[in-house]
Amino acid sequence: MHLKGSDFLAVINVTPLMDITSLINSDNVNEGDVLLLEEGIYFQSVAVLKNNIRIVAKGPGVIFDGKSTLLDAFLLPDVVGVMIEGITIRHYRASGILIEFGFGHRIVNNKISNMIEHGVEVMSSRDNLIWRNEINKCYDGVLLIEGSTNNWVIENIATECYGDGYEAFLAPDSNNAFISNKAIRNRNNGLEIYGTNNLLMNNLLIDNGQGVIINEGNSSVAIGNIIKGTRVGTYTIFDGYFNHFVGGNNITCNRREGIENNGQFDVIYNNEISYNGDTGILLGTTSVLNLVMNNKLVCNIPENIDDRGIDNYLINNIEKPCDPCETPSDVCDNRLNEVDNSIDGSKEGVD
Amino acid sequence: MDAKNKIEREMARTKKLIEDSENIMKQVPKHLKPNQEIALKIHKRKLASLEQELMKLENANSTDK
Repeated sequence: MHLKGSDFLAVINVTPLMDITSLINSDNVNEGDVLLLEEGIYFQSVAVLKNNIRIVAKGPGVIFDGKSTLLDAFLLPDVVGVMIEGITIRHYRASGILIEFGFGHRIVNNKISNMIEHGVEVMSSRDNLIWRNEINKCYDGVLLIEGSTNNWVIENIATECYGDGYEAFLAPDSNNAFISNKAIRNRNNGLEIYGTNNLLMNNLLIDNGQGVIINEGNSSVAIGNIIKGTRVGTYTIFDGYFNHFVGGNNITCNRREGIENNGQFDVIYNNEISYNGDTGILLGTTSVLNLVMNNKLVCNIPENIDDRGIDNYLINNIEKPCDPCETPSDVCDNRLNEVDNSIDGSKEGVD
Repeated sequence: MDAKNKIEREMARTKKLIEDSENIMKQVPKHLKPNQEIALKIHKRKLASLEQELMKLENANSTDK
């Protein structure tokens, strides 16, 4: 495709008084145009029905407020390549940004809070980038559902959500990557990941109800994640999930088991699992032919590894009991205080 | 949580959202209604899709038994 850029592309200034949906639908806006939003409070839902539109905030004071009346702030139904950048979205009754079908959207650097539904909901859509958004007090921070695949969810922060930080809903939600996100103090899971070949890498999960759930599918990979301070479960692999790889994760100071594996043919490799209030690695009765290798396990109570499964291979794991008079809570109280301090600095780099 | 429970829970939330939204539509200013209707249609499509997913799952489970 050869376009003479200056003939076709435009930067269009937008104010809170303008109906952005009508503007996009008009002949004044073409594919590739940039809508540059002036600071101010916008009371509207925007339906983007044209491809390759970029909706960009001129400054940090571009605020979409649904006043608990409007449904979703931005609707992207069956379009391609839309960018939404730098916008504060608050008090909508459904999601901040709702993507249905289509592909290749760029959802970048938005602040989304107080949605009854989700920060960003991706339905039956692929190849989207969800990067550096800050999501607070929504249901899920980011939800991939209805067969959403090949999406990049990177460097977002989801805090105090009523559901999960990040969720791939069912088996068809596969081949997605969750990289360097933070999930802090969410009521349910930090990462609830169903599906096949999803990547969970370098995420920081702190003080969530549960850390990670892996279910329905196979071959997802979790590397370099940190999971601390979970309350009802830490890292659970469900029965029937196979060929999951868990490597190089740091799982410490959680109230229950470090990793509970009920799956088959999984590999638990080179993780540090310490000071958890229950067994470090629990291989459940349905776990079969898993390889547990080169892990370092320190002071998990009552024991570091409990193998109740069949034909699991435990090789070269380093197990260290608690020191005399040492308990996980002694160590963890200090560590979690340090974490509290670091959470306050966790938003640096997102603005 | 198994897939069936997950779908049922999501359906319940989506149903509630749709019901509440239909009730609240009267309060939405007239010029903002068209996009609320677009949103509502998307949420209804989601609900229908979840219903189908649930049905498929139930059929598969009954075939297994």
